[in-house]
Amino acid sequence: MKDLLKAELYKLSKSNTLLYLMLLLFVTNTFGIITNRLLKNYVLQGQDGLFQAGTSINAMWFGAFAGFFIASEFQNGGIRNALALGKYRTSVFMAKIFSMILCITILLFVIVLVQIIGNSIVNGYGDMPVGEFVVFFLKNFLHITIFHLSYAGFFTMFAFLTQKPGLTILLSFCYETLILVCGGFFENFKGQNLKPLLQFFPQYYYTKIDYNLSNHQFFVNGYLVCLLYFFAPVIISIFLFRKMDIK
Amino acid sequence: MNNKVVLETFQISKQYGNTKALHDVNLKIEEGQIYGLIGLNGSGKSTFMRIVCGLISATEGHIELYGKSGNADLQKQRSRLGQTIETPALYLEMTAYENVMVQMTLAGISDKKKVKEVLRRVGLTDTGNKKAKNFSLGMKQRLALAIALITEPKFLILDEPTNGLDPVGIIETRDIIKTLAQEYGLTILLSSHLLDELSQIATHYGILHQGKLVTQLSGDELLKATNQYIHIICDDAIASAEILNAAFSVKCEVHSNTELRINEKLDRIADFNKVLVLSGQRIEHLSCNQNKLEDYFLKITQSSKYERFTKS
Repeated sequence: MKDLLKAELYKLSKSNTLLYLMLLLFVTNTFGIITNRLLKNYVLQGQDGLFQAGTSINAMWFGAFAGFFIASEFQNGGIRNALALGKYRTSVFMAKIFSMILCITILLFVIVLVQIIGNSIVNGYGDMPVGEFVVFFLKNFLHITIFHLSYAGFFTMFAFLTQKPGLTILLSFCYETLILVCGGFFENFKGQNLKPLLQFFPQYYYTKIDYNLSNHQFFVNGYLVCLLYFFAPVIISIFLFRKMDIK
Repeated sequence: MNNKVVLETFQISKQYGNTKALHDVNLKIEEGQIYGLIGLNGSGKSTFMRIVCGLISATEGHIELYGKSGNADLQKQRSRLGQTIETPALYLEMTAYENVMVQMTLAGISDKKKVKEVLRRVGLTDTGNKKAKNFSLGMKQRLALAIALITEPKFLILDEPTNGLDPVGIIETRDIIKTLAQEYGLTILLSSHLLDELSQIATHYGILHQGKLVTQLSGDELLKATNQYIHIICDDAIASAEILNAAFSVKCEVHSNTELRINEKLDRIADFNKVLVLSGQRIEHLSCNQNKLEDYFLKITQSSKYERFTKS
């Protein structure tokens, strides 16, 4: 397992995928800040910038990352080389999911930095004292990271099951769209009150975070739902990957 | 003394939907052998190799690697394998050095000197910062070989290692494989559709046809099976046969009034010629013929097709 993880980190350090994604996220987030300022959509101060990291557009890039970093391993023979070397399939999967989590955390950190610094420059930082901001940052960065894990589990599952980068990206996009559409439907349905069902969707705990910053139970529920969305596809993927034929 | 058995398969079958890719394959490879797996495209060579490497599971039967079977034990034994199956498994955005480094890290080897050593062994020392995507097919094949060798395998599985290579590339790859077997004592399982090419490397052969292992034979057995004979065309075949029988006690097959074949004492072809000429026979043609491996392969596979046809 240790060797698999070291190899993943080596590949990441030598591959341009992570670097290109960082650049893309930097550009798209900077563009968003400038556009908001010009169109005067809303004013977001630097101290609140980290809440912008959880948008679906950002999550979409993580789906692309899963496609290029994980599914492409089936195409270029990386998975084949690891398995034929006597590595266990569960270990290969775990190494991949760990590197996926690591990369998502790095990418989220980049987005958050861009949002905090960019919004501080454009709209001002805000009035939160620095010490208080550090605690606020750590707590909410953890929340956003766990929120994104709920996507990472599915994206990784798509990569392992399809073994094709393009199909992984497509399925990731469809999954995100489905989650958004379902959320919107339950939120706005006029007949029976379906809003309680929203609590079973990870994005509920992201979109409602502003109103629940001091609600401990809200965070606990959020972590549980997000982790369920993470572990369920991971367990299914490991089970299927152990039985799967590698082309 | 019996050599240690590296790989033995017992009634291995693989089914994809309604198609049976492998039928009850029983194959045995001993230490130090260069085992050539011969078969047409789609005969099941790659499927067989994938099962050995643990990439796909057999529908029926089981395999033993170094005497071990069972999923966990087999997987442990696979750390002694090196493989290149079908397309070379490479990271195209990386250099040759980096590609080998990935596999070295995977195997938990830390001695970086080995990377340069293995690249030297396959003739890729001068590629510098050139990325694998810019390599020729021959270079990619050699890099894949270097990746397979970095873990210092005892058993090497090479699927069509000369596929798509130009004649120079084929010779280079063949020389590398020969060196690996001779100098490093590796056991090698390799497949190729270039059958005569395979005959220059392999010590043992298995012919796979439509998922069935039609026959297994050693290099010596193949020589016998490929039917070597002396072919003579002369004025009077019957008289010539009598002369040769009297002089050398050889049994001749008279095929026509002017044509005969001798299936033994092939090394005495010059003496046969001398005796016949001195006896007044006019020799129009005299040669030692050996069917090519391709011919033998066709004969074997066609007869197996015929057997199946007659049985059904």
